[in-house]
Amino acid sequence: MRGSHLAVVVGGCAVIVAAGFAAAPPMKLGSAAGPQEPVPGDSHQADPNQPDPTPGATAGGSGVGGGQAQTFDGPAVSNVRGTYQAQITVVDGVVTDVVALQAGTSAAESVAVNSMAIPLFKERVLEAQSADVEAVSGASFTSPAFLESLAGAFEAAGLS
Amino acid sequence: MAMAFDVTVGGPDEDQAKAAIDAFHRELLRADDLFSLFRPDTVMSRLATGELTIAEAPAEVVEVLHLCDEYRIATGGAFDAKRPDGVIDPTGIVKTWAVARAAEHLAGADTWLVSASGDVLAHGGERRVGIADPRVTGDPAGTDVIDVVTLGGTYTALATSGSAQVADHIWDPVTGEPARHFVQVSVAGSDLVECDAWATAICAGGGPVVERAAAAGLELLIVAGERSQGGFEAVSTPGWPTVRE
Repeated sequence: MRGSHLAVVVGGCAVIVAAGFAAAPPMKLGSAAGPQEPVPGDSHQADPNQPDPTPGATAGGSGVGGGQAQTFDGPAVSNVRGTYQAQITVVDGVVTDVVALQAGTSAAESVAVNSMAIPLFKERVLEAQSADVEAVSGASFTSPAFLESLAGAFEAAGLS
Repeated sequence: MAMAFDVTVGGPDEDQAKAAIDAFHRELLRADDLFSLFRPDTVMSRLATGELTIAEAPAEVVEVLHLCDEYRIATGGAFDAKRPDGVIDPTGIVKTWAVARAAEHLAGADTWLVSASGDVLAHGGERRVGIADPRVTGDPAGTDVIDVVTLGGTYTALATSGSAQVADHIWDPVTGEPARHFVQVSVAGSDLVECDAWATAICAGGGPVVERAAAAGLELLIVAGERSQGGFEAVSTPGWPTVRE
């Protein structure tokens, strides 16, 4: 028995989605002032300095499953940490993907591993590889500005 | 609070499993009713505006605020629920607190596995859990992973923090700047809230917090950087429950 839900309760709405999202393409993050890489299927890109109050909807992406995939952009929401914009992909009324079109002001910088050369620790080089696992632990998206944009995308998709 | 969660239950019949998962979901929505800062009518929002005092708040809210305080002290201030504008925002641990609490509704099952927006809690048996590639956005389920660990026995909880999903959403409390110490931090232990708080704290505070976390008996995997020739530079504590060498 396996239940998979996406509970988006911003504004009191709860949406149940099918198990699993499609694998999202790696997010390209530009420099602080640089333009963002457009996401496939997204026909317009909001200027980070000009928040777009109107959520846009664009049909795009290759057909996922049987139905037609539609993408919906949330509004660009700015706070002191930068500008956030969510995009959801909907197939037959089911959210199949959530990506960040804009996520804060800049990318994380790589930090040299020798900054923490504590003898206790084991140094490792990790490669991304496929594996038979039951769950995956990763960073979650819990930024309020991102969620506000996400709620806008749900509204644009008529799912809230 | 918004999160995707995935619950796998083994043992009881399907109706029981369904009921348990529904109860789990309801508990999460209840937590949102108390803690959401997106809606003005919640206890947490009314505390933020001063309309309510902590003395008037329900026991659950007091418990979470106490936990925030406990981890702020334990992490040397690296985990701090106070936002730059002074509002106490326990969002950082409410999610895992609510998940751990909701998981009590699964007690009737022989085995269960909860995966909630990147944090994992397991009960019964040995479960193989992947560590997400920090470059993956959205739900990492089904994507290539940079490490695989076994949950079960000593380590039943696993939390990961980093900048993969939303860059710069963690602040360094010392510099007041967005925290960019590490690419991704995973913490394994037996208490999901504790793992979550430390993962966030290490991202926020960097090296000094790593030593504190190791001293607190937690097992860590820290992705420090991406290598130009491919792969990631990482370090792990000796007891990190990896199945890869």
